[in-house]
Amino acid sequence: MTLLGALLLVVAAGLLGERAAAWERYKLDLLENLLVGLLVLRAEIDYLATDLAAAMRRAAGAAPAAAELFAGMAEELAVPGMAAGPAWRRVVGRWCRRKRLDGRLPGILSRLEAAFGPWQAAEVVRHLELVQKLLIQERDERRAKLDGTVRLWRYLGICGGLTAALLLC
Amino acid sequence: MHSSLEEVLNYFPPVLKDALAALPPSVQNRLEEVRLRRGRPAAAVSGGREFFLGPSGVARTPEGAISCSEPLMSAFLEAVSRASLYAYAEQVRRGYITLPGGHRLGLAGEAVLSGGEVRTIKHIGGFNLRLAREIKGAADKILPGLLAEGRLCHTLIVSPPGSGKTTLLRDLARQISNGVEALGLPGCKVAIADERSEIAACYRGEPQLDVGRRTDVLDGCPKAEAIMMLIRAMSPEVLITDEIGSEADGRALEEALHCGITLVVTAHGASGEDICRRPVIERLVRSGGLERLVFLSRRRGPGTLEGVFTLSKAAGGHNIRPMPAISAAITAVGGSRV
Repeated sequence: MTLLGALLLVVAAGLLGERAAAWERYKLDLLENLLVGLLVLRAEIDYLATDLAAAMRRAAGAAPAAAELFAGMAEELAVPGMAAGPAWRRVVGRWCRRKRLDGRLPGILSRLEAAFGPWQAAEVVRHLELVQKLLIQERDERRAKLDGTVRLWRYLGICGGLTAALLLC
Repeated sequence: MHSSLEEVLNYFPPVLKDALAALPPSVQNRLEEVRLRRGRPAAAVSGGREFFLGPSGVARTPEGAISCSEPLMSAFLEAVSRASLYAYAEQVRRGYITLPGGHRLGLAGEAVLSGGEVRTIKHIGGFNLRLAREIKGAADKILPGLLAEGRLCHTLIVSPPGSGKTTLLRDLARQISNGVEALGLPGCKVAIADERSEIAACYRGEPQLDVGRRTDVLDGCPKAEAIMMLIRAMSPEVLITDEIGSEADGRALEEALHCGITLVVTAHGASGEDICRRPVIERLVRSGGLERLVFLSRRRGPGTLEGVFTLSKAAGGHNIRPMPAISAAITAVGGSRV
């Protein structure tokens, strides 16, 4: 029974480690989706002059993992008299909390607050470009660390389980 | 509250929204314009009378009026453009934005030129929101005078700015397009060359004002070009356009005449003398391209009908000479009051 208990503990800890590793991979996927969404947004604004709410909806359609962010902004924009900048800040805050995103990402996304307002396309695009560059940098850093981080979480899970099993036995 | 005001109220920042909502119903119902100028008091025009907007409606003094601060102006522009000013780039270049409902926001600011042409307006510091007022039946009195033997005559409507030319033209388009059974006028295919989006007030290609069931609108296109495109593509029976004046307009209208299309057009002018100075109009009259002249003024408010006149070729006229009075000018071209 003790052996079985110890085995279960190791397996559970291993799964926890695997879950944490999957979360790291998901965050990278989220970043990729954000980049796709911003690319669509930029094309809609710069080339098609689509109004912001419709552009947000299209970006949501193109980036399923980040759809909630873009669709949330489109919903906010539908409220009469809603200023786009504060609306974006609110949506980003809500989305980052729900996705448990921390580090630099919320800050990078919040920079777009200044992009949404009564501006010409060139001004909006400049802001989008900057945020795209920062996101690409963030993605590349995360991607470079991903293998190490995933391995770390897996080892941590199994080793943590083994340690706990040894201590409890 | 009047529906026109209701349609635009949400664009205004709360302080202005409250001020407009607090106006007496009689003022709201006749509201024509709301003017915002950066750093200066907010103003409005109702029934031809201008006044300043205070926190609780009409301000007694300019000092007691709401000052149009930078954040207020910015919030207004953002609301009007739905945070998508870039989507209105072409309209901004032309100095206005057409809003849902056909309302028009005039813009003042710093023009950015490129190759001698206005590329855009930056540092927008003045707005003039003109509320669209559709007056169905505005042409009821005039339309019978524009018919001869059951046929619509080539017509020129002349008036000073703000005298109801476009309102009249819009209602004429609606009635001609739908047909008027009582006058024996069947519905016609109407085409409108609406360069400044004033007649049909198109928003995303859709007329916001009723211009009739059989009406096609080419919006935002230079008149002369629009007329040629409409002739080629839409085969209209009646062609309607606003504020003719340039040589190119004249050539395009002559082309329409040669195609057997009936013209209903307008021009700015306060008197017969004014229209006589326009070579394009003179040429159209000479070629029989204008059979009826309608004069409007603001004498008893916008849309005061001064008269509908007929121009008779047989009178050997068609040689418009400068005349100070309308009737004298008409007589000079062998015309008479209808």
